[in-house]
Amino acid sequence: MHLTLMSLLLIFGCSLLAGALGALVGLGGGVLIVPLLTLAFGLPIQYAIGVSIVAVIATSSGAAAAYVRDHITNIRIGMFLELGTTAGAITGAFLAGLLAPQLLFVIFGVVLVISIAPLIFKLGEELPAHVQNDRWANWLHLSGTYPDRYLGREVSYEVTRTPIGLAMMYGAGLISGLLGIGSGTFKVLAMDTVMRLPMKVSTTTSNFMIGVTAAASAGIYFSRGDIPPLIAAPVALGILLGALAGTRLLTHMSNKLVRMIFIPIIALIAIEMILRGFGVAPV
Amino acid sequence: MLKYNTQQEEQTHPPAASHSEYRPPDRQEGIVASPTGEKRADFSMNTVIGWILQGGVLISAAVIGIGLLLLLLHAGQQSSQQVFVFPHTLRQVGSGLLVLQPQAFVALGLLLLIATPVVRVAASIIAFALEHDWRYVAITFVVLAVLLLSFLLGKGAG
Repeated sequence: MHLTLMSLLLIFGCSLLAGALGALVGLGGGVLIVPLLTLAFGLPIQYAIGVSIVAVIATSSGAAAAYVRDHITNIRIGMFLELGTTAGAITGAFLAGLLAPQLLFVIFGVVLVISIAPLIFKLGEELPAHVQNDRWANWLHLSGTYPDRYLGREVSYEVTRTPIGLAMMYGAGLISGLLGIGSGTFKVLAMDTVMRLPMKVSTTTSNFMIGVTAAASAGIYFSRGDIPPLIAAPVALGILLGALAGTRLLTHMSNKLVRMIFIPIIALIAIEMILRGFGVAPV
Repeated sequence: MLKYNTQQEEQTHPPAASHSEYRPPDRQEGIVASPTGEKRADFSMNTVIGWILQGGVLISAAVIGIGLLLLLLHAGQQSSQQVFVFPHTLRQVGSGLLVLQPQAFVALGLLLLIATPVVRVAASIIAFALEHDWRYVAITFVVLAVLLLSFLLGKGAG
């Protein structure tokens, strides 16, 4: 692979976009970075995945810094659910090698396709209605408020089906440990569809969490030599700037719009996973 | 210790301000008056975590930037093969830094970036302790322990 200034700038530009999108929908941007590096630049998949782990952390920290300060992220929900994701990730690392990754990619791709249905069903919903705290949410003080510039008021919300949400987070961690991918999609789905949080709280809290999940495996990738600095540098800087821009955009968007952006991206990820499972594309 | 967000308070919405006029409540002071007039002590939590994330991001971006700057100064000497020859242990990064190797600076920046979420979790323990929220001190402590365990296991396996 020959690295020119031009290609560095191109990678930087695409990373800007990936960072902005990732900051909006609570994902790591790996979905754009991995195909870009493998298909457009011919980077071997092992390096592309290493770089995309860095991209996830950059998106997470870059965006969460702003979201935490703006009080959109629910720190308590994030910290509590990280119990599930970290435990899942470590289990996944143990099980990796015992299970066929090809099959897992197909299964999770299909699960993602199915999970698009409730999202489409909820397209017209700006804020979840008639949600009441369950016992766990009360005990853990999970409910909260966030300032919504689009609606022009402070929005308060409650949290339901907390145990199912925690179990889904365990699954999300399991997937990232097994397959070496970010699992922001499953985190957003668990918070939005299961625990019934407002969409913006779901995406920003997912953003907050994905950095921790990714950091758990990033150290391994780094020491294995899977993260080439010259390629990771323009990606990291581009993502950080893009994520910053994304956070400025999100506050002025409606929850409906965020969900509408999320749906095609989740479809794209599902297709990528299924293709990878069948070994069709090196993405 | 103020416990906020109890059931009753959740039900009351603040009067909707007109779209253009709305500004999120000023949280600079760290104590925010909730719609019911109750004060809310979340100064330590959001401020501490916000600063750590912001600081980690800025420092790592600056170090990566220094590496790229050195790379531009060294331009021409960098052959295409060297893209995949780079320091990937702490010792290699350290010795590369001493001779101003561009890749070593970028690698250090990446390591700082990777460390940021871990530092955030560790600092959350302190922040929750400042709020006397022992439940969350315990939760966060477990998260950090599992995270560190995964680092150790990864080292053993990798």
